Amino acid sequence: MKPGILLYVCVLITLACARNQPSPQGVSLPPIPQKTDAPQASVQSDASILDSLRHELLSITTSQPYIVIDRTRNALTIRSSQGVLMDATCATGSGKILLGEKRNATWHFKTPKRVFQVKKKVKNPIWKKPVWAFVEKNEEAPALPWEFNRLDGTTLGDFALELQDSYAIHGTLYPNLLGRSITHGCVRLNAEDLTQAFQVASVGTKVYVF
Amino acid sequence: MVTLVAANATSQGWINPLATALKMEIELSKENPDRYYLVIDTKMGQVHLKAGGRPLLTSGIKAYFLEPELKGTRQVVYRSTVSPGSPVPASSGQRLAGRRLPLNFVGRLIEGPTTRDRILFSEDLVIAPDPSRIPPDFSYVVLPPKDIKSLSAALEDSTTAILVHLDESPAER
Repeated sequence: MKPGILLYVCVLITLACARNQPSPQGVSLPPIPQKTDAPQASVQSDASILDSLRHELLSITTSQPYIVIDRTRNALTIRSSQGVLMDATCATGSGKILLGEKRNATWHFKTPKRVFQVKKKVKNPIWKKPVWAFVEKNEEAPALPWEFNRLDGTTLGDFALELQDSYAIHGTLYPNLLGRSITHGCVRLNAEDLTQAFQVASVGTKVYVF
Repeated sequence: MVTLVAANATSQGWINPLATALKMEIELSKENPDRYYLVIDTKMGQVHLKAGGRPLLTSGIKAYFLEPELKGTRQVVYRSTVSPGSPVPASSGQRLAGRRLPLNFVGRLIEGPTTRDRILFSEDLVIAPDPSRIPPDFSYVVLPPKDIKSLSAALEDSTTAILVHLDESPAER
C-alpha cells in the first residue's frame, strides 16, 4: 500500500472516531438544574420537625411492649414500638350477672374497659375460688377463705399475669371456647400464647382493654 | 426567591397539618397517657385508635365524605353512638310490642356495641359501617363493621378524635 493512501485511510479513521465520540456541545442532555440549598433545606427542616415531633410523641411512653385486648373481637395483641409481637385469640368476660341468695350479692362477669398494668407474674398459679364460683354451681361456699376446697391448682394453667382488682390473664381448661365472651372477667389464653405472653410481659407492662 | 416560596408552599401543604396533628397528639398524651383517642387520616386512608401515642387498633377507611370546611387538621369530640334497633313484633306482648330495640335474632336484648353502630362526633361527623341513612349534610367515614364495633366499645364521653383531611380529590357521596 502506498504511503499516501495509508495516510488518507488513517485520516478517515481518525475522523470517524472523532464523530462517534460525543462532543460536549453535540449531545442534548436535559439541563441539570442548579441546586439551590434554600428549598432543600426548607423541606429537610420540615421533615426534621415531623421527625422530632414523632420522637417526642414516642418519648411520652416507654418503649416497653404493651398488651392490647379487644373485647369485641376477643383478640389479644402484644405490640411494641417495632410493631406487633404477638397476635392471639383470647376469651373475655361474658357480661352475665349472677344473683346470690343474699340481697346484695350480685356479680357482674365483665372485663372492664380500662388501662391495667401487670402487677405480678405467677408461675403455676393457684386459684383461690371466690364465693361466686360456688354460688354458680349451687354449692355452699366454705366459710373460711383459706379452706382447702377453695384452692384450685389446675384451672388457671401454667402462668398468670395478675392485673389490678383480681383480674388476670391466665390459661384455660377449655381452649376450644377461646374467641368467645364466656369468662368471669379474666382474660384466657391457650397454653402456647400464654407462655409467649408471660415471656414478653414484665411487671408494669400496660394492658389496654377496650 | 420564587423557587423558595414554591417549595415552601408544596412542603407545607402536607407537612403543616401533619405537624399540627402530631402536636395535638402530644398534648393529649401528656395530659393523660391512658386516655383513648382517635386519629382519622384521610391521606393514609386509616383510622387509628391510640392511647399515649401508642397505636392500639388501625382500621382502613372504605369510603368517606367530608365537608370542605373540615379540610386541614382539627379536633372533634365524640358525642354519642346510635345503635339501630330492630322492630319488636306487635304480637310480642304489650310492654314491648311495636317498639324498636336492639334485639338479636332470637329476640334477646343486645347490650353494648354492635357492628351496625353509628358513631357521632362534633362538627357533624359520623363514623359508620355504611353510608346509607346518614343525613345529607353530615360528613362521614365508612369503616369495616367489626372495627366499628371495636371503636364503639373503646369510645366514651368526650373522647377526642384528631381529623387530618388533606385529600383534595372530590369526595364521593
